[in-house]
Amino acid sequence: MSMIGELSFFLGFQVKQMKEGVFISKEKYTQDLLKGST
Amino acid sequence: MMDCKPIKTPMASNGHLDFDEGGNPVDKTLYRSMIGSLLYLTASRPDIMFSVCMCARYQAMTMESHLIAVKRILWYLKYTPYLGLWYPKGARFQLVGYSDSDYAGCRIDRKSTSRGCHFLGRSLVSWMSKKQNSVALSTAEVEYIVDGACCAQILDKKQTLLDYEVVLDKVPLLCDNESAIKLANNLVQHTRTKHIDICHHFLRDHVAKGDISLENVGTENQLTDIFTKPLDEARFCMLRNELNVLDLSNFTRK
Repeated sequence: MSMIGELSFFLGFQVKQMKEGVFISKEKYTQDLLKGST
Repeated sequence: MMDCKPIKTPMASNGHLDFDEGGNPVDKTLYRSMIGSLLYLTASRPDIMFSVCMCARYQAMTMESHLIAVKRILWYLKYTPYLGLWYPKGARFQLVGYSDSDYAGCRIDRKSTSRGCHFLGRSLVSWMSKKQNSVALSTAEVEYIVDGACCAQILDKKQTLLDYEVVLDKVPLLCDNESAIKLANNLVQHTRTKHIDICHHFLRDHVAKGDISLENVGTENQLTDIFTKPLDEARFCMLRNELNVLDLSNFTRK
């Protein structure tokens, strides 16, 4: 299995690669967590 | 939770929890599942590490006040959903450790909380916040135990870096307690420290070998406060930025 292009989503981590560095966040997970808890 | 009010810190600055024996019991399963989801999030959010760990201690006897504390963390997440770790390019490649502790921070058993974080250049690579296993008699003793734990972490990182042929010597470990530094550098047995278990003295051994070097850092530059204390908003945001936990929208706007 191979994926073409830069890493952007891995094990729930969102990875954003930029010229100045790399940004790792779990924004989607956070949003889903907030949606899931009532 | 989508329409809750956003809040700027995950914990009130006087937010220490206790057993709250007279409180209303709440559903433990719900509480545990909330803690579980939040613990997973701490892998990319060191800013909520302390508050989540504090709430996680009360999973056996859950009261309403504990649930309210967890909800406050969710409110905070609502305010800051875009935060993540920023790893800048081109910083100096140097391993630095920070260690500190909160003496007798736990209201119930008076045990202290250790905290530490490690940077590689400007990038945060590991962090911890842990209640110590035994009650300590002095701040120096607490710090000494924390420094030992951080020393073990640093040795682990050094070993990993060695595989990439990066050899580091005298890795600085910054702590703000002078007595702990003196204790680690000087092999004199002193009445106040005789009882410290031998396993903690391995710090001293590694300082003597030159694997790490303990250095003093002022309280205001101590980045690990965020892992053991509830803080006010200004200091909390300052430390969060120092740890390179930033908002993605700041970058995309540039």
